[in-house]
Amino acid sequence: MDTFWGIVILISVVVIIAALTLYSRNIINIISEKKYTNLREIKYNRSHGRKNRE
Amino acid sequence: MDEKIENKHSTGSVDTELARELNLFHLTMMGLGMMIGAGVFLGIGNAIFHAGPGGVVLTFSLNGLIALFTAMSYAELSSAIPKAGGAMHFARMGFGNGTGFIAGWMEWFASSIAGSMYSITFSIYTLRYFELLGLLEWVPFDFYILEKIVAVVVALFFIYINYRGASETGNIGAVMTLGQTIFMLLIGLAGIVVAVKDPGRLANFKPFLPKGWSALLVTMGFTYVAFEGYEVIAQAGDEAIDPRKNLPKAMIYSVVIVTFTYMAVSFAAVVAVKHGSVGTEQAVWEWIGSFKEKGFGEAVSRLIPFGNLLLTIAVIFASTSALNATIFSATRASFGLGREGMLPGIFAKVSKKTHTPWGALLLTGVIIIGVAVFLPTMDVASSASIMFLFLFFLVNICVIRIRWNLGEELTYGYIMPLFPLFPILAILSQGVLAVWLHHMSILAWIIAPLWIGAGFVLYFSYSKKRAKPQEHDLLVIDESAAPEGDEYRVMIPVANTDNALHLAVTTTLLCRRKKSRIKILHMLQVKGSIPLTNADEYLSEGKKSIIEAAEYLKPLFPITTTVRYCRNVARGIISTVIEKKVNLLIMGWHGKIKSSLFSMGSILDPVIAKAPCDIVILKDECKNKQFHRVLVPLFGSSNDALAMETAELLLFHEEGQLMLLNLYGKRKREDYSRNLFSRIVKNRSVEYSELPPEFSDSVEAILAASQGCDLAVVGIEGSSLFRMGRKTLTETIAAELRIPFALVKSSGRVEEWAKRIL
Repeated sequence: MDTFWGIVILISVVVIIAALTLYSRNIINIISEKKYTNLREIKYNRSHGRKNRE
Repeated sequence: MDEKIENKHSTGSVDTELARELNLFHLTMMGLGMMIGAGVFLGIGNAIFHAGPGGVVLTFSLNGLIALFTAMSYAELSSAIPKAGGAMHFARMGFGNGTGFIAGWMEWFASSIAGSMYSITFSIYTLRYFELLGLLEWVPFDFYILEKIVAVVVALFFIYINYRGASETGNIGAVMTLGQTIFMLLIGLAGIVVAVKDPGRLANFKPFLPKGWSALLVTMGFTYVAFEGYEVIAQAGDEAIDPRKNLPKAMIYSVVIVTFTYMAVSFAAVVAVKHGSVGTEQAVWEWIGSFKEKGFGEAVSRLIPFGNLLLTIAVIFASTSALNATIFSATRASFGLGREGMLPGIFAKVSKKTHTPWGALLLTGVIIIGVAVFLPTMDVASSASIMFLFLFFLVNICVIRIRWNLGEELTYGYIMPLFPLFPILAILSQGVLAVWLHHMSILAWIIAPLWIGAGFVLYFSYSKKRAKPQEHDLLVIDESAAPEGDEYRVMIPVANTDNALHLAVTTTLLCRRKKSRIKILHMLQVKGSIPLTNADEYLSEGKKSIIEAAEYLKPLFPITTTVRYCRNVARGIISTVIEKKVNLLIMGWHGKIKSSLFSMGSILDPVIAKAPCDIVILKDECKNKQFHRVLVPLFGSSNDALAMETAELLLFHEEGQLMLLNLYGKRKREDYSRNLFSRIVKNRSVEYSELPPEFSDSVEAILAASQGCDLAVVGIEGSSLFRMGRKTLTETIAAELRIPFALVKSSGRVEEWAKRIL
């Protein structure tokens, strides 16, 4: 049972780390490319980003 | 050369200068170098001993996850505040000078002691290998003394390397770290290959957790020291190329790389030995664990050819690159304190030749060498770990507080998702690890509080008086008198001579019934590139506008006049409102909406949302007008009373008609507007007139009712800060209303209290 839960935790940790890393990398690139200047702009563009890109 | 941006900062009598030379690769390698230090080599064997074969892999993966949470906090803060000093600056911005000093003080000590530990580790492993080869038989004195001598020599060498400059720090450190990381990954790869070729070795993982889940807490606390590298990256803020982008990336990349490397290496250590091949029927994990800190070496020596030699070389690489990184980190922490005036001036001195802070480096070197020679290093290293954990608590709290308080003003290069979930998770998990560390070293729990206590004594006896104002502080450049007494405190921020007189006239009308003291304020925004000492060159326009308003108001009210220097006008106004306990803020508005991001402008939006006082905003069109019929839309909110009072006071000679528009519907009683009128309006010659709404839509109703009125006083409904591109009700009314108008916002007692506290 320990082995089962251990492997489940290991896989979960790997997935979470990968997801957070990819998200972080993307948001850094987007902020850097768009030259946003503050949190308001970042939040605004994040919520409207898809629409704007289309 | 374009990338080498000069960063100059005047600190009064001491000028400092740092060159930007560290790119993403340098920064990532610096973080990795600090993490893949000697700790992991010593830690794997111990982790297997305490938690078993599955436990060691779980230990490093869970620690990596916790470290990533804190790295995200560091990344967000470093991207917004990329300065040498790292956690010290975060704490200072979040909680003020005292906490900032303690953070920097802990950081300096923790990094210095870690440097001592790495120099001794280098010494021990190098000498042991030479001893194995029989090369140390000629030594005439105690082996222990030789260890100390070698430790001092290697520490001196890397202190000199750091003195040579940031470029050397980055290049030498990067090459060393790259070498050891590749070596570690090769070990991990060898383990995977062995497991694929001989799947029977996976049986080494049985039992997965022989000592239970609770054993994980012991091993996680012990090995967490191997995940502390993002602090050194934060320290390099002044020397990083494109810091808003490269600092957060380097922090996250280094933690992720190190986590997967540790997982692979610990897996390889477990499968490295075939059951029964070492001449004992002991389980493999028990056999590796029996060697404790040497267990990793024993396992790896059976996994790859020349295992002992290669491992010794790897440990030498690891300890030296970690030593290099900790010297860098400790020096920058103390340099940051010196630059802010919290430690004596020698800490802020920069070499004109090498552009490195030689004073801070020298004193850091004294601690590293002193501790390496005189103190039991492992115990002190444990206290360094505790202080790193305290520091991480602080940083995780800071990221929450700074996002809430200053988020609108800072320029972020990275913002974390699901805020504030991850900082809270990091605080809780690291709290458990810090408490658990007392099982390892009681002395550490004595040394750490002693050092922090010494920091408090130093702060209150020396640093507090000498601390320089931080960039986001306000500096009062010229103030005629401080406010006093219990009068009704009114503040009018004047931008220029045009709006100064208009605001002064309106202030006279609004304040004539109360015993008021008027504060006339001009916020002087100075860009970061302009030294503080030159700020007075820009005072003349501000002074003119203040004089204009003061001349008008002086015969009528007691006044104070202030010019304030700031980096951000909105924050400057809000801070002054809080500091001076202002009751009413009167501001002007040009009436133009320039950006879809703001409802009423980058200054008014945050002021309306955050200033804990009543606010009256007058559109410029109100200038030099006489008002006889004033429209007051009543929404049934806390703004209604202030709107009605303002409307009455703005009536020409206090005579005329108040047109009250019922927009509250069934939320209030039918006689709400009549009762409010009776309670608020003092002048009985003012006529009461109630308008039923002609339209169901509030905006249309107000526009229709405004015909025939010469002024509208409208309450500001809803927050404009999180509008995300949608027009607020107030913004729509302001855009479409064709008559002069004033906007008001009343701050209720609970709301005002909450804003002042938060």
